[in-house]
Amino acid sequence: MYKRSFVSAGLLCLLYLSVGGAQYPVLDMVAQKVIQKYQQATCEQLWNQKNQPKSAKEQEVIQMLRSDPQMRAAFINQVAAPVANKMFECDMIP
Amino acid sequence: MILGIQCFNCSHSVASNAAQLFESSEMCTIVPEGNIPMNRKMKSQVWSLCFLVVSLLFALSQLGAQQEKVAAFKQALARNQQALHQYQWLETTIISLKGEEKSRVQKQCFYGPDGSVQKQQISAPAPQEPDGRVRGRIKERKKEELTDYMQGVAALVHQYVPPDSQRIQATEAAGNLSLSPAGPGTARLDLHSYLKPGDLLSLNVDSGSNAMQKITVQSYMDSPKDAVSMNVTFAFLPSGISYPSNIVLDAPEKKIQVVVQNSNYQINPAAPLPAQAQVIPAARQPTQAQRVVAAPGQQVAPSSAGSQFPMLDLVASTVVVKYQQATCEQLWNQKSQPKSAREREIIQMLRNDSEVRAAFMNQVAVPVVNKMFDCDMVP
Repeated sequence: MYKRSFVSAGLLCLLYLSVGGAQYPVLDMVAQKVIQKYQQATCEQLWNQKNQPKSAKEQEVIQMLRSDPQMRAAFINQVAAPVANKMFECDMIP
Repeated sequence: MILGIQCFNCSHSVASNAAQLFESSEMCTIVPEGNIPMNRKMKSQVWSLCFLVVSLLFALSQLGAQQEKVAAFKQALARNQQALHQYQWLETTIISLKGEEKSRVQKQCFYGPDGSVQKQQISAPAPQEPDGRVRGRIKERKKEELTDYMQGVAALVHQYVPPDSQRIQATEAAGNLSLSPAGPGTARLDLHSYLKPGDLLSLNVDSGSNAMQKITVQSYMDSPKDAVSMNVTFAFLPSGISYPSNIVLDAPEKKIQVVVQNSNYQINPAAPLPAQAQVIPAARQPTQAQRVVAAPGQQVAPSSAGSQFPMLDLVASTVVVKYQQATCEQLWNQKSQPKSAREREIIQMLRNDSEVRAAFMNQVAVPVVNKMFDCDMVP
């Protein structure tokens, strides 16, 4: 009983750690998709996309990122370099 | 204090829920022979231990978040300060004694090669009326005392404004820094004993851009009896750089008020320009951090302070500050505006040299994309 209690307590701590340190696997996929989109698009396509409305799914993902600062930071960290590079190539920044 | 309460509540609920589950499952479990049933006290100790561990982990994660926020603010502060080095401005100092204006002096200010602010007086103090010999001596002595005091006050102002990153670091290390919300989109950093024991420096910062909005200081001259308070409000240049536009210092003990107004910010033609020849040193070794930018999908640091391209850092700082402090409307409008000759020159330089470009991107990518996300410009 004593042993089992310790195991349970340990599991609870592990659960906390795993939840706290989650790496958002779905988000990683979304980030990869965004990176791919930017890398494969021509500059003209990127310019045109700016004026097009976003799909419901895209809006949902964006809303999710806006409501979770940690998830957003993880996402931005992944996409920032390739997106900024492409936008620089296309004269969209700085 | 708030942190402690949050930590306790959350951890307590987790622990108690889990405890209930454990309790209920125990009712259906047959204890194997040889196992010693745990007494209530021991069970309570185990759960207390777990509760402590979870509380500690939660507190650590909260502390980490605060440290990240403070670090981001220090970076933004350093960038803004660096960008300000390109400007010259007009400083008007008005000194009032017992509510009566005693002097008004204007100075042209700019940063010297050593990084310190240089000042050239451009307006003479008001002429004094002639007094009798005795009365004149008394007045002269009082004036000297007041001048000494004012010099001390001026020195004190500059020790608080702009806030020094190293002092912030030291205050944080001493556990005297607290972060709390101060209205929508604003965070407040309270730094106790920042410069002197018992003083308080409070910084209101934009939570998104980390731009400084307001500073308040409660301090004193030689002794806590000689209290001084200071209020600093910030304004923004069209380039998005923030500057202390109005500083009001009150010394109630001496019935003195000092108002410093900074205005007419213009690019200083004598300030070093980020020319290509200055940016690219003869020999350079790109760091790993700089290389990763070229590799898609890799993580990058928000900035690489102190990189090997010091002038490029200045350009990157200016770009970051511009993006962070511009409104979304301004950013959208900028897209359709033609670039200046200077901007085109810098862009060309970045296109010509992949290493310089990588170093530049390393610094600007995260804050620029973050802002563009805010403005619905990416993804």
